[in-house]
Amino acid sequence: MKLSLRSMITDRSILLQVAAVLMVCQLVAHAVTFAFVVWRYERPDLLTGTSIAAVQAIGFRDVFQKSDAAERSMLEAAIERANPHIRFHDAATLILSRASILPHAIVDGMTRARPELASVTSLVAKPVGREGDFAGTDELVAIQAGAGRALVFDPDQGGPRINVPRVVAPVFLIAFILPMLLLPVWAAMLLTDPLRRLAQSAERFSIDLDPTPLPEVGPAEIGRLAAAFNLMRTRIRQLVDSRSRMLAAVSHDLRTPLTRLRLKTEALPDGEEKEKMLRDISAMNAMIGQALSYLRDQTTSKALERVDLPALLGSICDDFSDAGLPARFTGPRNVVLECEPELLTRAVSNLVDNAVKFGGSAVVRLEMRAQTEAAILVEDNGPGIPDPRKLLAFEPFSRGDPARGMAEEEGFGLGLAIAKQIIERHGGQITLHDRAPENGKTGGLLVQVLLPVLPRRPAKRIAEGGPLAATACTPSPGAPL
Amino acid sequence: MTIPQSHILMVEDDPEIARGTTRFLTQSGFRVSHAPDSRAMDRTLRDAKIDLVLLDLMLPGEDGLSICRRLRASHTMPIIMLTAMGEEMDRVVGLELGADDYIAKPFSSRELVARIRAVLRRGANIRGNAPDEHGSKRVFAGWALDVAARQLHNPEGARVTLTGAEFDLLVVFADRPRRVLTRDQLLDLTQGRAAGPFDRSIDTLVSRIRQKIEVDPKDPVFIQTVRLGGYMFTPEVRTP
Repeated sequence: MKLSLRSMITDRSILLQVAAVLMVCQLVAHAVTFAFVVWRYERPDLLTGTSIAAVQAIGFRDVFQKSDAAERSMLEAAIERANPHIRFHDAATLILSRASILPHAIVDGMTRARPELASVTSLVAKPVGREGDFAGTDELVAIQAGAGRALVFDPDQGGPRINVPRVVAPVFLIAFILPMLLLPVWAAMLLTDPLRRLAQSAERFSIDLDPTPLPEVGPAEIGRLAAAFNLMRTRIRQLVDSRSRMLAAVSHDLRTPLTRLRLKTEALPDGEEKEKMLRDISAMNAMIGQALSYLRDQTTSKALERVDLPALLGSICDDFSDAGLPARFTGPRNVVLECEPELLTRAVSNLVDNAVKFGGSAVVRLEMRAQTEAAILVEDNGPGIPDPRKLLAFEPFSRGDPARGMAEEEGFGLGLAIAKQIIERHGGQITLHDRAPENGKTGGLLVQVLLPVLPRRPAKRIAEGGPLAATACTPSPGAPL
Repeated sequence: MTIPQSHILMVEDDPEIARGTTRFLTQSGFRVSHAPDSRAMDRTLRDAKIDLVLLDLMLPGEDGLSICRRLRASHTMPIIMLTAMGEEMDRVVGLELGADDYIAKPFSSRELVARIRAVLRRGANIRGNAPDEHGSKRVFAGWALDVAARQLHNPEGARVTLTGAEFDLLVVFADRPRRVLTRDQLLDLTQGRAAGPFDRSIDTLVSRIRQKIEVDPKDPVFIQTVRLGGYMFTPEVRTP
């Protein structure tokens, strides 16, 4: 699998990106420091203790060589007095130890960095001479000063000597790697936390218009974003509120005269005209309800509830059949989904209503399509909808047949639009199909609704506080109420 | 069933609706007083014994929800809310605030009279039998029945939808657990709410409820059929 670097950088979370950038920065900084140190270590003549001692020693040698032979013993004494780490010795009395010279990195480095040092005989030696000189020092450097004298100095003197620690692993890990890994993550979390809260708040707001404003803290840019978000949220709330108020007012203002009309109509003597007027009033009221619910459902939102889907579908069909309209439900039991039950009821009721109205009867079937997907199929025996009109049918204010005009019971043609709006809000899909022809008859319309459901759980046989045993159910004659 | 002439107070600001409603309620045998706002209502409540309040939701001055809350705190008579909003939310809020029923405008006069009778009968039940004094929640075998919100939740917490008639019947059962109830008794106890021409028999309703709450509807445990014509609700019912 090949991942482009660009997408790896841009697609990850900001937290990881910031943390990675910080880690890389630290790594680079440490590497530069380390390289610098090593480089310095390789050029000990500039600043390190060794170089200072060596440069001093070379300087003193030059002074010694240029001085008069008569003054030399005085000069030696003066230099030694002023520099405790430099001693003059008789070159012949130095015990040379070549073997210990060679691995001496300081000498090697010195000679590599300053070619003129290569010309001096550098020695590591324990000088024979005055007791107490260079006590506790193992490594000394000697350079020929001429006239049988040698300048011996301790390379560790004159400044700190750089030592690369030998046992680095645990200390390095804890003091170096761990902060390098953890600090960037912590810093990135600190930076991205306001963003995370903003996202959370936006999510909550989009679900339930949650009114708590976001704290406008954090980095300046995010603070501004939060302020902008709060402002936008206030405006949306005002919009939604004014819309809700308007809808309530419209609903009230339309229904109040409708109520008067209905009361007056009911006072009329019975007859066909009165029945027709009452039907019209009911139709008008239903249309007001339809239009309002279409507008309202776009903005309002209630909490999701876990709902038993077969019970909901069964109740809808039972309500229809109780009103004398043929609607039937079949399907498995114990399918639970998260939904807004009133909205889902309205969506399915619209489909059943259409099926009954245009197809004479409705059959609602529930089928499990996958562990977490259920299909609700609403079928009728009507003429169906021709293919070119199937998609248009979901448009608000559309009608099955443009030539038919506004039929008495048809309403605004919002039924399918409302159903689609609700189903899609629940993460589902709604599609129209032709039923397979049966016995030579054309099939009618099949509305398929796919909805995400919760994984099914096996039913519990006996629940807590179980019912009485069957033997206890003998009738007691004339039991009082 | 005959009811002694009940006195209904209608709180409604629209004079035409008030006049029309008063007319057919009077024709249906009720005594009706009318108050256009909450102050007139308070006066009438002081002067007369009111059996039921018909309360409009949108009123000038104090609105219906606030009046409902206030009446509930001081009076016991049943309240039916009338509203032109017809929103589910208002219905639930209204019932939670203590309204006994809720009717959307425009209502049919027949429906309104049926609801008023049902509420009055239930009110008589409350005073006589007092099962409603336990509050609005019943719990049986992990199932939760909320009478005010008209909701049933199964032991897993999922809402199980019932039709109006099914719900009323289940409430009747839950209020009388472990007692044999004949079909006639059940019919009498649930009558009033759903009185449509296609009203289902008790048997149909019981079979539908079983489909929804029994683990195996063919071998019911909760609602058992009793020989000689009746049913018994077997679980223990608690009222939290």
